[in-house]
Amino acid sequence: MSLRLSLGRPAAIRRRFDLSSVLAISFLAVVVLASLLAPWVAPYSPIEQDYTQMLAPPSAAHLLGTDDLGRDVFSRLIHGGKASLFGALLAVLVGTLIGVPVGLIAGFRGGWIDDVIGRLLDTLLSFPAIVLAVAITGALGIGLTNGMIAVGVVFSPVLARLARAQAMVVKQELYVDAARSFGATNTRILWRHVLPNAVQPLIVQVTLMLAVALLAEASLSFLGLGVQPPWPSWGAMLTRAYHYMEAAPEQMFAPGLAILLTALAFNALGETVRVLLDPTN
Amino acid sequence: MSGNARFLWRRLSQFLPVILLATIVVFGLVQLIPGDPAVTLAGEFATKERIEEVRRLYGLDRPLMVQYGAWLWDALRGDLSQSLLSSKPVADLIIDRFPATLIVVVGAVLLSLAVGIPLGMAAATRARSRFDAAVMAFSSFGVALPSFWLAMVLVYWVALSWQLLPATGSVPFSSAPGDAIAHAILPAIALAAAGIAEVSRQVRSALIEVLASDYIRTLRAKGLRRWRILWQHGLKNIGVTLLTVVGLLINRLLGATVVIEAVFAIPGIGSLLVHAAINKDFAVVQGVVLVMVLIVICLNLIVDFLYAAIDPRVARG
Amino acid sequence: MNERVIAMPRPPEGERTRLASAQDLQVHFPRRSGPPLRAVDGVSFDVVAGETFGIIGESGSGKSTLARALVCLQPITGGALTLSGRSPASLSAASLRLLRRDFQIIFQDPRAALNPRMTVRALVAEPLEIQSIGTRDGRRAAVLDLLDRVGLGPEFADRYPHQLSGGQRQRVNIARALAVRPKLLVCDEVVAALDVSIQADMLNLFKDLQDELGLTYVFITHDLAVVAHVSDRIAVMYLGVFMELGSKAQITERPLHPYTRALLDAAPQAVPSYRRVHREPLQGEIPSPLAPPSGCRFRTRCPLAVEVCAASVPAWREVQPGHFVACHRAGEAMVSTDGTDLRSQGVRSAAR
Ligand SMILES: Nc1ncnc2c1ncn2[C@@H]1O[C@H](COP(=O)(O)OP(=O)(O)OP(=O)(O)O)[C@@H](O)[C@H]1O
Ligand code: SF4
Ligand SMILES: [Mg+2]
Repeated sequence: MSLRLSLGRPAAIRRRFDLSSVLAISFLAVVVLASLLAPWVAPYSPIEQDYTQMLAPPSAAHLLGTDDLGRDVFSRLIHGGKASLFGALLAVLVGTLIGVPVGLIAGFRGGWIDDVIGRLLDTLLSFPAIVLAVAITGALGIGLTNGMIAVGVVFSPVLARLARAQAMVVKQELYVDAARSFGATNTRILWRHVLPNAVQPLIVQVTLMLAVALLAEASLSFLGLGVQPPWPSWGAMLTRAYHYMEAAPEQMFAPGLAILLTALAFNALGETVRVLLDPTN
Repeated sequence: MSGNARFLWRRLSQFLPVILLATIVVFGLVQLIPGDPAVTLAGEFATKERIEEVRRLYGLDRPLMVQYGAWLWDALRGDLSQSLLSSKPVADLIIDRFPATLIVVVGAVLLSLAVGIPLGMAAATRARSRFDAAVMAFSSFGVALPSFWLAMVLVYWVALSWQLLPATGSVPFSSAPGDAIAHAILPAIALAAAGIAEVSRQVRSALIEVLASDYIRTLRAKGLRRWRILWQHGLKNIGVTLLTVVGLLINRLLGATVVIEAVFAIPGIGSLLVHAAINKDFAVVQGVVLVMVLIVICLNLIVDFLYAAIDPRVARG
Repeated sequence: MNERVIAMPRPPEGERTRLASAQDLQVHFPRRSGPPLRAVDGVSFDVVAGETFGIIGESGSGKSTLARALVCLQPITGGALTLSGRSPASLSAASLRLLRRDFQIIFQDPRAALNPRMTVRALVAEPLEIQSIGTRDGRRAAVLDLLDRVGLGPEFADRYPHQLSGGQRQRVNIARALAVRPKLLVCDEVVAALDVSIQADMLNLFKDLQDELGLTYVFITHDLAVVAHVSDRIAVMYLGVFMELGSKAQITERPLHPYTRALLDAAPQAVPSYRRVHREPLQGEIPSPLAPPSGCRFRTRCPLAVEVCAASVPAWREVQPGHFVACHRAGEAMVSTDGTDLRSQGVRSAAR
C-alpha cells in the first residue's frame, strides 16, 4: 500500500454535502416550527402534573412517556426546544453584538487601541468557556436569559478576533481609499465598506456557534443555572432524567438526541453557509 | 538564537499584562451582581447585622480600587478569602478538591491524544477514502455530542447495567491508585469524546498538508517505509499543530469537567464552582475561576516556549 | 445640477491658477529593518488650472505613490505639498474633508476601487452623500446624469461591479469622481487595465470631460503614446525622482535627458514628430528602489554615464524656460542630437 493523497472526486463530495445540508435544513425547519408553534403542536401542557401517570413508558397517549411528575415528555420536548433554541440564539446575538464591533474597531484602528483590545481578547480566551459562563451567570442571577447572556459574553472574544482579522484585511482595500478620498469618516467607512466585506466568515462562524451555544445552554440548564423548574429545556430535562435513570432510563434519550441532532444540524448549516459564501465557488 | 531569545522575551512581557487583566476580570465578577452585593451575598433572610458582617468580611465598604488591591495582594500570598457557606479558606477548599479534577482532566487529555493522533494519521494517509469519511463523520459527532449526555449513557450501560466500572464518586489517588483510576475512566472517556474529535481532525488536516510536501515525496522516493515516514517525519512536522491543539484541549476540558463532575458526583473544583455559583458563594467562585485561568495562561506560555524549541521559524515569524 | 457648478468658474484664459504644487515632495515607506523605501524621493512641480500634466515612468518608479500623495491618501514624509494654496497636513479633519472634494483620483485598478457589495447607483451616490450634496431626490437624478455623462445608460445603475466590463467599471469610477465636481483629477494608469480597442474611447471621454467641465488632469502612465497624446506638459519619472520636465514639444521633440530619449527611441510610432536616432534599446531592468544607485539613479542603464554620474546627484536645473532636467551631460546630449560621435563616446565611457 502506498500513501494515497489524491484530492480528487469533488463531485462525490459535493453530492454528499448537498444531502447533509438538505437534511440539516429540513430538520432545523421542523425543530424551529415546532418550537414556535409549541402551544398548538404539543398535545399536553409542559408543566401540568399528573400523579397517576408518573414515569409511564411510551404509549399512544404519551408518545415518549411521562416524567417523574407525570408530565408528558413529548410536550416538554417541544416546549424545551423553544427554550433551548431561544437560549442559543440569545447567546450568539449577545456574542455578535459585543464581539463584532469591538473586533472591527480594533482591526480598523490598529495602533494602541488594537494592542489593548488584543491583549484583552487573549485574556478572555484564556478562561475556560463554561467556567466563565457559570461564574457570570452566578453573579448576574440564575436563569436562562442571564445564563445565555453570560455565554454570549464568553463567545464574544472569538468573534472579536475573527472580526479584527477581517477588518485588518479589508481596510487595505482600494475602495476604502476611494471612500476616504471622497471625505468619508471612519464611522462611515467601517459601516459601509469594512463591515459588509468582512461579514462572510463572521456569518459562517456565527452559524457554527449556534451549535456550541446550544450545547452550552444544555450544560447550564443541566447544572441548574439555566431554565428554572417547572419549565423545560432539553438540558433541564436531562437533569430529571438523570435522577430517575435506574427507574426509567429511556427518559434520557429523547432530549439527548434532540441536542445532538440539532447541534449537528447547526454545524452542517454552517458548512453549507461556508460553501455558499465561498467566492471560489 | 537571538531571534529565539527575543521571542521568549516578547512572550514573557505579554504574560504579565494578561495575568493582570485576568485578575481584573475575576475580581470584576462580583461587580456584575445587580444591586448591593452585600445584600445579595448575605442571602434571602439575612438580618441587617448579617449584611453588615458580610460587607465587612469582604471589605465591600471600601473604594473599588482599594478592594481590588487588597484582594490581589491577598491572592498573591495565597489567601483567597473564605467561603460564605462553609467559612473555610477558599484556598484550602480548592487544594482539597483539585486532585479529583486533575486525574480526570489529565486522563481525558491523554486519551484524546492516544486515540486522536493515530486516528487522524490513519485518516490522512487514506484521505478521501471511506475510512477517512468515517473518521470525519465521527469527528463531527464528537463535536456536537453533549459530553454530559454521553456521560449519562456511559453511567447507565457500563456502570449500572454491566457493572464494569464504578458509576459515581472519586477516590484519592494516594490512598488507592487502582480504585482512583477505575473511578476516573468513565468521566475521562466522556470528556475525551470531544477531544478525540478535535485532535483527529487537526492532525488529519495538518498531516495531509505535510504529506503532500516535496520533502516527504523525496523520502518516499528513497524507499523509506510508510509508517516510518509517518511517525518520524510526519509527526515532527505537525508538532506545532499538536502543541496548539493540546493547549486548546486543556482549556476546553477544564471547562467541560465542570459539567462532567456533576454527572459523576466527583468532588472536584468544577462541582465546587457550580455549587458556589448557585449559592452565591462568590469568594469560592472567584478562587476557582482564578486558579483555572492561571493554569491555562501558564500552559499557554509553556506551549509557546515549546513552539520556539521545536520550530525556530515560529519564533522569528 | 447644484450650486457647485456655478461656484466653480473656469479659470479665465491667460490667468494661470496654481492648483497643486509640490516642493521636494518625498514619500518614504519605513521598513522593519534597513533604510526606508524611498518611493518618491524629492519631486517639485506645479499643476496649473486647465492643463493636463502628464507623468511617465516605468513600473515601480513611484507614480502611484505620488498620485496618492497628491490626493492626500498617502501622508508625505518630506518636502511640501500645497493644494489650492493650502497645506493639507495643517488642516482640520473637517476642512480636509472639504478640500478632498476638489482633488479626486481615478485609481490604477478599476475593479479594486469599487466596493463589490455596492450597486453602481450606490457607488456613484456615495460621494454625494458624504459631501451632503443635493437632496435625496436630487442625488437620484444626479447619479443617472453622471452615468449618462460617462456613457453609461440607466440600466447600469442596479448592477454590481462584477457584472461590468473593465471599461464600464472605469466609467463608474470616473462618474463617481466627477460627482463631487473636482477641480483636479489625478488619473493613474486609467487605460492600462483596459482592452486596447477601448483605450482610444476612454481617452476621448477624458478629453470631452475636460472641455465640458474645465477639469485639470494629472495624467499618469507608462505609455509614451498616451502621455504624448493627452498632455500639455510632461514629467519623466525614474526611481522616485523626476529626470526631465517640460512642455509636450520640449519633451517629445527636444528631449535633453538620455532616459527620455531612450523612451522615445523605444517607441518610434508613439511620437511621429520625434526624429529618432538609432540607438540600442534600454538595457536591463529598473533597479530596486530599496537600493537606488548612487549619484544619478539612471546611471546603471545610461549609455552616456561617466564617473561623475556615480559620484554626484545631477542638479535639477531649468535649462530653458519651463524645461527642467537632471543630468550631468544634458548639455552634451543636446549638441549630440545631430552629432553621432559624441554619443558613441558616451556609450564607450559608460562601458568602462
Ligand atoms: N504602502 C506601501 N508600503 C511599502 N512600499 C510601497 C507601498 N506602496 C508602494 N510601495 C513601493 O514603492 C515603490 C513605488 O510603487 P508605486 O506603486 O508608486 O509605483 P508605480 O510607478 O505606480 O508602479 P506601477 O506602474 O507598477 O503601478 C514600489 O517599489 C513599491 O513596492
Ligand atoms: S549622463 Fe550621467 S547624469 Fe545624465 S542620465 Fe546618464 S548617468 Fe545620469
Ligand atoms: Mg502604479
